[in-house]
Amino acid sequence: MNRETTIYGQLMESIRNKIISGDLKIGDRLESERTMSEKYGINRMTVRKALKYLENEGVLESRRGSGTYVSKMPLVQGKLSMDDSNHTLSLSALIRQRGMKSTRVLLSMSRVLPKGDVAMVYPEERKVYEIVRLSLINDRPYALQKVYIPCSLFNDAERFDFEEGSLYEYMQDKGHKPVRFRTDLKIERLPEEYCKIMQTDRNKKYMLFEYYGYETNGQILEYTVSYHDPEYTKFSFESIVSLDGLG
Amino acid sequence: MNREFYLLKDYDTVPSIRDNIDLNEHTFQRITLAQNVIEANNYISRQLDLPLASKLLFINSLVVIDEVPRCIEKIYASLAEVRGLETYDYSDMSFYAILNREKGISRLFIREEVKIVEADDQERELLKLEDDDREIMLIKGTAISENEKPLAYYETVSDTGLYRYRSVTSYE
Repeated sequence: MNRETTIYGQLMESIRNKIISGDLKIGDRLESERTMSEKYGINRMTVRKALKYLENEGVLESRRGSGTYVSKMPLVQGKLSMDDSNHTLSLSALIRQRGMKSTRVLLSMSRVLPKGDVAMVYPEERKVYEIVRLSLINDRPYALQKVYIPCSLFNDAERFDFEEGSLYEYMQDKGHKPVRFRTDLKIERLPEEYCKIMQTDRNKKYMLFEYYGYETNGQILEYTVSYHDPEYTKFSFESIVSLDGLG
Repeated sequence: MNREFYLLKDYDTVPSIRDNIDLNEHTFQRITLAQNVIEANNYISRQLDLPLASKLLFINSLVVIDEVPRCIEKIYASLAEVRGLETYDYSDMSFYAILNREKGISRLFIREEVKIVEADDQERELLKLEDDDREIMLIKGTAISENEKPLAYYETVSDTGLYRYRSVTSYE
């Protein structure tokens, strides 16, 4: 099923993509209806319909006598995922494109013995790297990530700059690339040891992602546990369900 | 209170606890709080792509699992699409099961948005939340039929342990 087969739907998608990619920024004025109508060779009513729907979504804002402006980032829809493939945006890219300043701080990086959930993910590994990073929006803590990668495959991770650099760039340099991802979302309180750094109290609940990246041969390359402040986070989920046989 | 049960929403999970719970393992009860025909306000009409004041079937229920209230469901369905289903008893069969049985709808495209928000007084009372438990999960969803018509818009408010999500993506 593809809702974007309609012309107005395609125009809406095009405008959304321009905002997400940064071609259009919040506050930018769109081309006039007439200009778009002539440019794309489509009916002006179709243009108006597309703009109206985007206004209803809150993405655009019409100002009388002035034009139509970008007012907010469209919701990035799709599967729950935080990878940096061309299907979804990495966490930092998403924050930047909302017009907010995003920074990342490497809190710690060390070789550790797999324990608990990490040991269940990496039962054969003697040691894994634990990379703990803090993401900030406008200098305020937003997300805490704990990334675990196997030392047997990535034995010199200490030499890479995980504060500025991309994890997947490093993995690819080492000849490994996750191609299949499983993402689990649940809601939990932050572990007590991270409350201070996240500037929060013990009772606040966070969106907890557990993120598994697998290579083509099925080997697990990455296990990430990521806590997101719900003040800045909403996620969307799509599915196709069969109702046959219910009840 | 026993809030151990959770529903894992995967790529093909029907958004109804009733259709996903093992009644040999858990008890389930849906209490109807309201069920009537209403007119769509501006927000709901936009979600369903309907004119303002269109007639809707509105079903408001409290779901109790293992004797504990776990979520409050509100379903707004376009009456034009579900005519004849206004007076059904939804306490035993889910809205989706009845759609399938009575309207022959076999597949739905589901789009949900998930947030954590602070519970209001009524929600706290209905869900019997503890004093230090301020937050709830809010799910806003749209069910779209195979002919691309939005069929129902729903809002589910639950304790934060009731739902989990899983997605699998492949770029091979």
